Amino acid sequence: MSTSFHPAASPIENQVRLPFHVAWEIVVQGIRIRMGRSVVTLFGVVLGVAFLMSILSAGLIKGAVAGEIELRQRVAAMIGFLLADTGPLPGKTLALHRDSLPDAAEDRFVEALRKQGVSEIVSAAEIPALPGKKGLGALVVIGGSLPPDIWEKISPSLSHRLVAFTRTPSSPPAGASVVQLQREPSAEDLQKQAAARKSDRVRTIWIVTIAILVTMISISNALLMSVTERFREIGTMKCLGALSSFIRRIFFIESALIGFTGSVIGSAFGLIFSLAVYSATFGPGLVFSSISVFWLTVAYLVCTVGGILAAVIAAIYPADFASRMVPATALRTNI
Amino acid sequence: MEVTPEKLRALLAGSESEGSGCITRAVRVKKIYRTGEQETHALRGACLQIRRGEYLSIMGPSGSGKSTLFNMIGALSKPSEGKVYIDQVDVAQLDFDELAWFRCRKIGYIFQSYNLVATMTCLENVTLPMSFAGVDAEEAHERGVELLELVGLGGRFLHKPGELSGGQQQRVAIARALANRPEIILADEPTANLDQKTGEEMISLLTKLRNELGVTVISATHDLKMLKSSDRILWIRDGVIERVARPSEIDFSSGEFH
Ligand SMILES: Nc1ncnc2c1ncn2[C@@H]1O[C@H](COP(=O)(O)OP(=O)(O)OP(=O)(O)O)[C@@H](O)[C@H]1O
Ligand SMILES: [Mg+2]
Repeated sequence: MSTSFHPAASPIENQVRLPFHVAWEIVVQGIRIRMGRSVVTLFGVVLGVAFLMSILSAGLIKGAVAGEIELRQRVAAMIGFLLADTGPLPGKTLALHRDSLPDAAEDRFVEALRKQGVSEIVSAAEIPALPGKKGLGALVVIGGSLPPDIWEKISPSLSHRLVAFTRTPSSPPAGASVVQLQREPSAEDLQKQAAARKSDRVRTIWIVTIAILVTMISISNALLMSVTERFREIGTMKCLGALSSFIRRIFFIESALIGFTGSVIGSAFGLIFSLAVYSATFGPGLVFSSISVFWLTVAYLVCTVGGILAAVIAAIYPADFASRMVPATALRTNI
Repeated sequence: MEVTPEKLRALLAGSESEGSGCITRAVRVKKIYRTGEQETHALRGACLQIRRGEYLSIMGPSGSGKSTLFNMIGALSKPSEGKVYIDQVDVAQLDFDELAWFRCRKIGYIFQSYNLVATMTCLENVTLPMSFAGVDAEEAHERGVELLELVGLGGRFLHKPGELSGGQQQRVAIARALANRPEIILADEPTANLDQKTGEEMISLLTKLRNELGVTVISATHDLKMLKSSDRILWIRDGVIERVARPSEIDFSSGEFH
């Protein structure tokens, strides 16, 4: 008996734990060789994640577009109220006093004033330093209060003694005609809005939950199929000395890899899909000027990470099942 | 080694002693498969002792329990009752890890249906058990090439199993079974898909392994040449070991073999 063939009658030891790259190579090679199958599995993941992403991004886009439309309406209404009192603005100079931090609509409103052809907007604080400044039209107040001393200093320079407040004025200056450009929503309106927002949120949560479930099921179905197809291969590897942990690792790597690729592609598809649908409905200009890149990026990352997690979670059962299978059963066609 | 007739008879009858000369021992092994309500008794108390370095052939009609017996003595599945010892170790006592180690180093399996990994090349199939055993890649590659040349698949290292004929796949399976220098080779119909010439080459390869390296060869076969070159032939029917005999005691011209 040659000793080189059987080096020594050694006692049973623990099986070698293979480094990660061995499993990685086996997985990558397997995916490459079974390209057709891998693409089908990948497609399942892409579809699931794209669905989830389209729901999430559609919600974001819809919200942003609705906000933008409301904003535009508010600005248009403010301009309308102002014009009703001042007449057309081209060539006129306006005085501006900021009493509080402007909100988005008020910011837009100032911008819109410029677009109306106002020749100059002078800050109220500067007017006393510009004695003899003539031709000032109305005074626009961003906010609801105007300190009386400012009014006293400015009023001599105004051609119209008109003060336009963007909010409900608290103490209207004496001897001026006062315009309120925006109405505070009534308590009843606020209540209605809150109720609408609440039912909207419930609906969104419901749809997103369904989307997540559909995504999970579609991913686990795709992965389960690719596992069951390979019971025999698993059995073979076990006969050749593969550890259960190695088998489990192979499935997790494969799932994570397919989950990652599928999620990246699927999220992009979902985003493109909802952008396209909303662009077709509201026009690309409105959609792209209103969307928030930050929140869409967050949604993209959430969907991608969620897809990968879903894939890994979906692999737990099949991987565990495969790794614990008795080789004889796995081979089925026995030895 | 001179073998006295008494010694030989003792061995053929299955020695009662539990000496170290015995590499595989099955003690009243039963295997019951339950499928729904139905129970299949695939093995009904098989007792078996296989000497180290022996060449044992197993015969039996289809469904007689050959593959089941192989699964038991190959540590691929646990018996419903009874014990299997391989190299003095009670297989039932081994945990998953130890079983993996055991299958990896001690036993080389040649499956009836080859069971090559379809996504890997021939060479990778042969080196796979070596990487499970922790052999470094270069050494495994070298040995894989040698083994494939040994079974006559010189120029086909990079082919996938799907691109090979049945006989060629079987030879890859044989090369793979030898990868980790096993002490036992379990073969299910290893020559079934080979032409006469390669079949004979494989038989002489197995015989050579047995003679020169002391490998124990256990194979199910109906191949006359294999039967004739084995040390003992074992008949199994309905899960019962019916008969054990030396080839010299058997009349190979009887109808049973044609
Ligand atoms: N996994 C299983 N589940 C249920 N019954 C099984 C299973 N494996 C084998 N059997 C049954 O056990 C008996 C013995 O089967 P086995 O595969 O050992 O036969 P065999 O001698 O190898 O036959 P063949 O020469 O056709 O390969 C058969 O009746 C078979 O139906
Ligand atoms: Mg069989």
